[in-house]
Amino acid sequence: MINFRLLINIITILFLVLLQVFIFNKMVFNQIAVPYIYILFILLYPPQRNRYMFLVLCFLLGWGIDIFESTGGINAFACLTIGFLSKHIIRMATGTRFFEIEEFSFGDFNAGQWFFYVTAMTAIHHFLLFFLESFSFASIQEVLIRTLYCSVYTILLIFFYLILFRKRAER
Amino acid sequence: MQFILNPIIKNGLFLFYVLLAVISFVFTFREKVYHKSVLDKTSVQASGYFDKKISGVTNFFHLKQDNRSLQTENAELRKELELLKGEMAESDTARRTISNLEFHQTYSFIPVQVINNSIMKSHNMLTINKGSRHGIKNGMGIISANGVIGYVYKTSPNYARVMSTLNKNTRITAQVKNNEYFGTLTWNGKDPRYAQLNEIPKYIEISKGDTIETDGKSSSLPGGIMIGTVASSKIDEISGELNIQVKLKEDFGRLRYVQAVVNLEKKEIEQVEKTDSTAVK
Repeated sequence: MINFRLLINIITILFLVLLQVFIFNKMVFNQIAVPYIYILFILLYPPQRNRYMFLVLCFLLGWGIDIFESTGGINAFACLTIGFLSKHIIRMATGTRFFEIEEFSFGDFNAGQWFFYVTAMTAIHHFLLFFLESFSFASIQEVLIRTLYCSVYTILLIFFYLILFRKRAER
Repeated sequence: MQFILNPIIKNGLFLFYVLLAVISFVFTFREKVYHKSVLDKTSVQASGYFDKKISGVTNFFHLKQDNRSLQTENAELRKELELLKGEMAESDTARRTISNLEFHQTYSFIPVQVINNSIMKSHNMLTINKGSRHGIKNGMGIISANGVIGYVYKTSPNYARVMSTLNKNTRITAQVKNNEYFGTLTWNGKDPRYAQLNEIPKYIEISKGDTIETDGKSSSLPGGIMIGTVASSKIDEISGELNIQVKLKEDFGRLRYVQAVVNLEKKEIEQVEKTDSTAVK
């Protein structure tokens, strides 16, 4: 059963990597903003499943993107970090201190909590990605501007996805 | 023993995260330092395969435009040929240089096709559809009809990766056409339409619209290839040299057919320069 689920996850990762590299990387808006839609996998992964396996999957997802863009390991690191932080951000979004992660499902989120969760995760991911890419404090201003534009673009597309394709009960 | 084991078990997830993060950093820095590992070669091969499939489809939509640009380039070349023929007929000195060129050909060109391209990042790369099997080697220059595209930095049997001009690490020696002062062309990572020419002394007069071209001092690029025109120039406050904004003639977002430069005398040049450095010792 677990192996079957792992297989599904790996196929999803392959699909997302190809989708990102060949479609969304070409959707450049105004020569500055690119949507990084592949983090949907990390955003929508149920938090009560095995965390170790989740981190490995995050790493594979980011590394898949890195192979195509030949950027070394920066996508892998950014994905890994938001994968590690996702549980804490869900905890912050729901606002309960003694929150039992085992009973959580994304259906419990209301619109505001969704917005907080998606925005926080996307902003952290994009900032780490662009900062590691330029790798200097001198160009921090450009990194922040790019983070802002790309985050807005990504968040818009992620909400399109959530509104169009997620069932009402899950939302 | 429990003292040591308990924290490890308690923070297992965090330690696992750190382990994977270290691996990703190793990937990142190895990519920047050593470009030739086996893993890189296979990944270039694999991603090149997919890029080729995709660009086979997208090429179809650009056919009309590409045809037009090839036609204009052909016309330019024909014009040049006629000009040279005329000169040859006119004077003896011209004939001597021409025949010299024929027997001592320095540069030859391999036509290649760009199958993957990016202009959005601060370190942009291209993939081209020919590799070491077709004679592409590391360090070769890549040019197009409209300017310098970059340098080859990684090859596999069938594909090669090119460091684009729009890459913060790329340095190209370039000169101002009318007075032949040379400087270094770099890119500051901001606007893919403009590059920056530095190290030109401030007493040189530069006006808007002057042509910037390669100067032929590097062994991987022939001289006289137009790169772009001067858009603006101002004096750098720190170094006291001119800082020139160059409007690139090539539209990097639309690259498709380019040429790899083969310098047939590269070995000889390198040998001469090598003896030079041993003499200093």
